[in-house]
Amino acid sequence: MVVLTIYFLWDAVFQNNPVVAGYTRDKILTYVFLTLVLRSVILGQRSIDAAGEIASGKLTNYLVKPLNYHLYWFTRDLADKLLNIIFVVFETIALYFILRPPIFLQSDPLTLVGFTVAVAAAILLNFILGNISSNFSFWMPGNAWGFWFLYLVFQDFLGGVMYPLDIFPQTIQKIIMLLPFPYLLFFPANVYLGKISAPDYFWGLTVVLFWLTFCLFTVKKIWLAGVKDYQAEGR
Amino acid sequence: MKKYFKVWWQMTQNSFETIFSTRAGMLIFIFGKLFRLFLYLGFIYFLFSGIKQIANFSKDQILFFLITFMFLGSVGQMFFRAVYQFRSRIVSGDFDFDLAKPISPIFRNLFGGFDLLDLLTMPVLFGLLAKIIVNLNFSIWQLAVYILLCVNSLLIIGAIHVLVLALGVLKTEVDNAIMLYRDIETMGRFPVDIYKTPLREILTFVVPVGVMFTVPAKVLLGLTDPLGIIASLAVGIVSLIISLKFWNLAVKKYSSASS
Repeated sequence: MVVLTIYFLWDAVFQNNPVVAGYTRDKILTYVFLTLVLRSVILGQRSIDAAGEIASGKLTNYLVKPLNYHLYWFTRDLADKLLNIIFVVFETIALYFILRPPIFLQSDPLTLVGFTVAVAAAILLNFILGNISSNFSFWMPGNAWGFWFLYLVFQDFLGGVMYPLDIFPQTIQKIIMLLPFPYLLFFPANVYLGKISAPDYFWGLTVVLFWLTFCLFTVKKIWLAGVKDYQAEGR
Repeated sequence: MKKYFKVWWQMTQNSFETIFSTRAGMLIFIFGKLFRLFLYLGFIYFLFSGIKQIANFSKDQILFFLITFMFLGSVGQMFFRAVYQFRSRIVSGDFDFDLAKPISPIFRNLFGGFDLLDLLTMPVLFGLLAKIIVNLNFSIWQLAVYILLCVNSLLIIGAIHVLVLALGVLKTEVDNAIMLYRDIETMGRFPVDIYKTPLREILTFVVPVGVMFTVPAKVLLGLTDPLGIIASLAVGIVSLIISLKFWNLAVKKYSSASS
């Protein structure tokens, strides 16, 4: 339903304006459809349940098993994404035939390779950021959902789900682009649309790489400290 | 009536204590809600820096639709939050205790979880709404009808929550139904005029999102005829009657299989 609101809002915006924030009607509607698909591939995840497992003490069941808890959730996330892709394919086809939007198809192979790399990086980044949110459950078991709620708000509004971030003035855009959230949806979508130049693309990948490294380091620290303090409350 | 208020007050105090027990979470939620509101306003502000109108509505008018939607949505969530916990009460059999008490079970499960978090963000929303309203040109009658239709919207929101409760009694399905409603509700964030036929008609006559959020705001903007106002009130009354009938039917069929 959200996609319908966003779609028709932009459709109404472009009724009397051929170009808004550097987007034509075709490109913005492609952006809306693309983010619909990318949301299920990048943002769809089951690891949100990890916070509940830590809070309820169910984590103990995994700690005594010879498996990596993070990789376990990552594989569950991948399985969930696969399921989401099946649903989103039907959803997109149905919406395409109902709305008949003008779709921009990217044909440049190099851009498509760059897009695939950006999507893969976004999947990893989203998993790690979500993991950090869940790990706060070690110390605040009753507030796990609060951190996730905050993360989801950041995803929606600073990640480009609700609107493309180009809508903001340059200064604000530059600040937002230093955060990890735009690289979840906005960056991959714009790579697909061919709106990112080669230098900007590599700068974007550098920022993603920085956040991936930083977040990996952070999540490792938090996890080790959390497991040390973990008392299996509720078990 | 006095008895019900006393029970509601007791349930509300319990709900407050639960929320106060996780103060950090409370602060995170409030920050998140205000941050979301702030970014919504920023989005509209910056969007209108490049354009003049959306579907013939100005920036102030679009903001008015948005804040009316957020205000009514938050009031609905604030009062009817208990619905979100209803599935566990049905599955665990706790609902049986509600049926045995000398108070309406619908009252307990509709109003039993007043949300403090929404109450705390309410002054900001109300302040924004008041700030936009004072800049509009309207008569006292328009304001009175706007308030009446806002109450009517809350009636419809309540009726939808009762339908969800009834569905929970029949099928133990609550979570997906309420999420579906929340999803559809978000379509009222902007005036239903932005949607094309037949979606616009569906959102006006089938799922009354337009009646709930667009019509009240349009009254104050002087964009609704008396027929639209009467039809909106009729939708409110009819949806309440249907939901209560469905609830009675559901309770009659309740088998208490889980207890």
